[in-house]
Amino acid sequence: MSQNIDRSESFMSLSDGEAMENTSLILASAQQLERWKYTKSSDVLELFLDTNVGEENTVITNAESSSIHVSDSGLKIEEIGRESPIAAFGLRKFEKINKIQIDGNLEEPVTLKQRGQPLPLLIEINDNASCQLHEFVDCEADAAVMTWIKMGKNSSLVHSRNSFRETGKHWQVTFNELESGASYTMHNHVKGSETKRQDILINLTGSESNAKVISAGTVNKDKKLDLQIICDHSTPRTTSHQRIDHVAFENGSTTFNGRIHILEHASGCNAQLKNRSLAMGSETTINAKPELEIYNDDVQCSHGSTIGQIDETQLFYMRSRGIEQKEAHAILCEGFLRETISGPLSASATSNLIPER
Amino acid sequence: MANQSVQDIIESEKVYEAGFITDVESETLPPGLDENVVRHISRQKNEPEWLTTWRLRAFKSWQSMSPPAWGHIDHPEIDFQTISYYSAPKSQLDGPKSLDEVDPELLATYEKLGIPLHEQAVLAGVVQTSDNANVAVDVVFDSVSITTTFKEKLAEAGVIFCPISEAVKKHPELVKKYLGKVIPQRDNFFAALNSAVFTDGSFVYIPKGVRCPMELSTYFRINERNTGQFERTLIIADEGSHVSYLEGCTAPMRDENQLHAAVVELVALGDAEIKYSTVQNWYPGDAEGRGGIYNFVTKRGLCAGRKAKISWTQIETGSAITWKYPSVILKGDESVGEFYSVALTNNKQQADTGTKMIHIGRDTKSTIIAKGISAGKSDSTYRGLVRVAPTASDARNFTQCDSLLIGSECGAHTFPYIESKNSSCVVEHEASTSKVSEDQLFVCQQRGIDAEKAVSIIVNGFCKDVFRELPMEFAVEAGKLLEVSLEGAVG
Amino acid sequence: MSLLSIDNLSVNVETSGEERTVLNGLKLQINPGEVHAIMGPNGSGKSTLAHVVARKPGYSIQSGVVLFKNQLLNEMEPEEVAQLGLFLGFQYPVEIPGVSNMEFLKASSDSVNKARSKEPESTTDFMKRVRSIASSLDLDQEFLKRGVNEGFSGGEKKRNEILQMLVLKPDLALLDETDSGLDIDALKTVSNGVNAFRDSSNGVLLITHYQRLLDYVVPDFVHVLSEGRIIQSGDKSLALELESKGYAWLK
Repeated sequence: MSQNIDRSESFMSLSDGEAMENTSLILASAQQLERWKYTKSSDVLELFLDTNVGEENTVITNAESSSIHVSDSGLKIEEIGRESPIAAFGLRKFEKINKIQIDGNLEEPVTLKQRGQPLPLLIEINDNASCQLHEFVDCEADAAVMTWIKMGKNSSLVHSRNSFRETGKHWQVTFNELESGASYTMHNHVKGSETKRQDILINLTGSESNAKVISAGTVNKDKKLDLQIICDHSTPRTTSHQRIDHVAFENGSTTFNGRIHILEHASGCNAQLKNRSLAMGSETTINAKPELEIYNDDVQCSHGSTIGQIDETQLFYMRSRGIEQKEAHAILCEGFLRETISGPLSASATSNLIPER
Repeated sequence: MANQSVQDIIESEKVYEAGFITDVESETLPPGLDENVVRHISRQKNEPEWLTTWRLRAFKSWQSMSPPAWGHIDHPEIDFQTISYYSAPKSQLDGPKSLDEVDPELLATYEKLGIPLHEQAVLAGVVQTSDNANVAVDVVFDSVSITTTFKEKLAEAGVIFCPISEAVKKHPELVKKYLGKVIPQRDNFFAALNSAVFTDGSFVYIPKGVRCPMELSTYFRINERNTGQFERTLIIADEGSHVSYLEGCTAPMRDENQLHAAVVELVALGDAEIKYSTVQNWYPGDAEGRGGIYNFVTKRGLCAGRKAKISWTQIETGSAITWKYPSVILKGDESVGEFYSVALTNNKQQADTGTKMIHIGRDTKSTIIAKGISAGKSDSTYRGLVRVAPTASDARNFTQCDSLLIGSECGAHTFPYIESKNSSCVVEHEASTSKVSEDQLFVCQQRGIDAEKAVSIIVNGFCKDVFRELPMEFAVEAGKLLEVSLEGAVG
Repeated sequence: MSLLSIDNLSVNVETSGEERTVLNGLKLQINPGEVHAIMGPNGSGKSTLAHVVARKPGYSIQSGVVLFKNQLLNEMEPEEVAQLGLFLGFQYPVEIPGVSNMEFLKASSDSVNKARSKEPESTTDFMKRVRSIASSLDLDQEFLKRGVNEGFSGGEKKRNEILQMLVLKPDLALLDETDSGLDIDALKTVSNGVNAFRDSSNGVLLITHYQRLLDYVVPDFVHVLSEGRIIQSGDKSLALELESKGYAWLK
């Protein structure tokens, strides 16, 4: 009769060891930390520590404008400061990083292709500058990809990212720092791989800055996807909006771990998070941990997280129009994802994420 | 602008009404914990050999464990060797047969607290005749049960309601069968400690098909300086039975922190229903966070059979630290688990509380409604787990967590863990955060409602979904308690 | 050959753990070129009849047979029934966000064609045809790009049902309370759609609570359903009689 549940010393009966602890310290800017994550960082941390990182094959195209500056030889770690997130990660491994600087309004999108073992990349967007970034993460083997985005006052960036490789272990970390009035939008499209973890760490350091993350992810048979978003509202009147949808097929496993953190003096903030997971297979694993950590009473915060299946009423409606059950499933799944597949790269995302009917 | 700001209201202090120390002669063990202390407790209570062994095994486990570090709480390390693990009011060692025999000073204590025995209309029956009363009270004063009322009426229905120490002697087969089965000794650090040194608590057995004829109630008090309280409660509802159990606490004011590490185990067999309600108003410490109870409680229910139902309702207003996750293991097919909670923190109180719903059986359903209210410099955290095992086809969960912040120095946090390993389940989680605004207050004040009352009205409205779940007798007390806490907390 | 032939149909439904009989020995026959109307008070089993014929899950047929074009529907999947040429216009059409109306219609039309071993209609032809039907129903072209029924008004949802019917060209259309919640203009539009649809080879079954629709779509037969059985049949005059006397006089 005894259920051998929760016997260990953790709320979740799981402890993640020292690597976890260290990584959390690096990743989290929070004062008091909610440490527990679904994917062991140690699984992916080695990608930063042990693989042969540093081939210079971050490709930047369309970068021919007077408003864009690409560092040829790369920046030395010393030049970017040891306090930076990249340095914190890379002290042991990276000797230099690539850098792009934007100081005007770029009409044409900047295209970024991450292949092989790319160097970390720093993107600086100067005050009042604006640009679109199209990022394609296409690393065949195990890889860690790191992007550090610093946004100046009143700058804006629309960042679209497609990451569809289903082989290998991948850890993709994005740090975003927004000064006052800056606006960041991310359209994220991702497919699970052997292990794919994406960390999106947004720090709204300037007042009235805002961030929006819209993410659609799917996991196929034997694949894993773990999306971790931390949004720190460090200053007053900042807003964030997260919309995260996951679909798991067969025995695929998805995790969403999203945190909204509002600091003590950050009044007048608005943070919303909506997360939906759709179980399409019979042996799926779906985890969700939407967190709110709030130290200010003048806020508007909410989150919602649901796990479910295809709606029976919708299914019957389609079948009563002659559509086979299997196809109806596919169409409804597609409809589900369509709500979060967005931005300029949505066409290729649609064809990649949605299984053929 | 409101002529009295939220902050002002929070800062205006009110002395904890239940704060006093009763001077009762006690036999108290010197501080410290080792095997001998465990043996001593067991010997004092004339326990059978199997229980002594059981305690010692728990003690061994405890020695190899460390306190949980994952809570969103912050407190100085507890030195478990400075705590005394046994204290019994001396004049009670013979065991009073009725309330008349209870130390008058104890009764005076209750009168001062203004809640139980003599004072409250509901409880009046306790000292009057059994005809007009519908609440049976098993009073726990420090560590020894002093008196149990209504035994006869309950016995008529076949219900067993007695101190667990008595149950060990009179119903060893039941205790042996269920003790530690829902919460294993090694479940966590505090459960292990409790298993080793538990002093007393309540035991309830409702036989097959019986609807318990009255609400069962226990009042816990902490009175002895530096005496940890290690209550152990075990409630078994046999097939098709029904019971509602009420638990309430207040504690006298103390300078030093006091540890409370209770364990409550519930077992509901097929078609049985257990409703467990708590109003907790232990001393929260002063405005600077001095004193106050450390409340590390493990509560868990097992829906063992088909269509079993366990419902937890808690109103948590007290304690310096609350660490508590009343949970339900939904093992029986179509079983139901519910958790309704109000957690109010003020000054430097910290609460990390929530629930776990473990879905194992098919068609199991759980509902979680959690309301957190933070004021002063306090932190209130909801931490909840919804786990759907591969076997739990068509499981359903609905969770709603709302936080209300009063003042700009408090924190409100929500950490839900949702895990599904069955593709046919539906899990829904919603959370929101709001505040009592100066504007809301001003509107109330402008209509002639004073700020304190206004906040109370707003908070009561915020909590009504949970209050609704309380038994009638408690709903009144809960509302009053919240108001008192808000007086001390908000005003 | 009759289009629909129902004999001695008894159906149970389970609601919150309790089985109850909703249809009890129902008999009905619809031939090509006929428009039938089924009327009856709330709870008489009208919608159940539509759902059972369209094979909505959750209804268990206790006895009786439902034949559509001489094929037994009792054990069929909902899509098989639809592919055979039976259309159900829903009383409460569900919203499907993210799936556009046009996409949905094309998938549906292709499925039906495929089941009949016909080539799918070319996308351009199909869209042209749908657009022209839509404009005949006063539906904006934008409407076709929106998610299925997503954010539609009650009237729009009903017109969308008629649009689907006209696009799919079924042999038998069951319209479940298609008139409810419509203002007079919308009712006329919907009725025109139904009248445009009916011809000598197909059939229509109108399920309605009110006589009003029947002023615009004139039925050949009117049946009164009560407690799961047809207790009275007649021509259009029966509907008028019901209108003036209510249902009580039949009992």
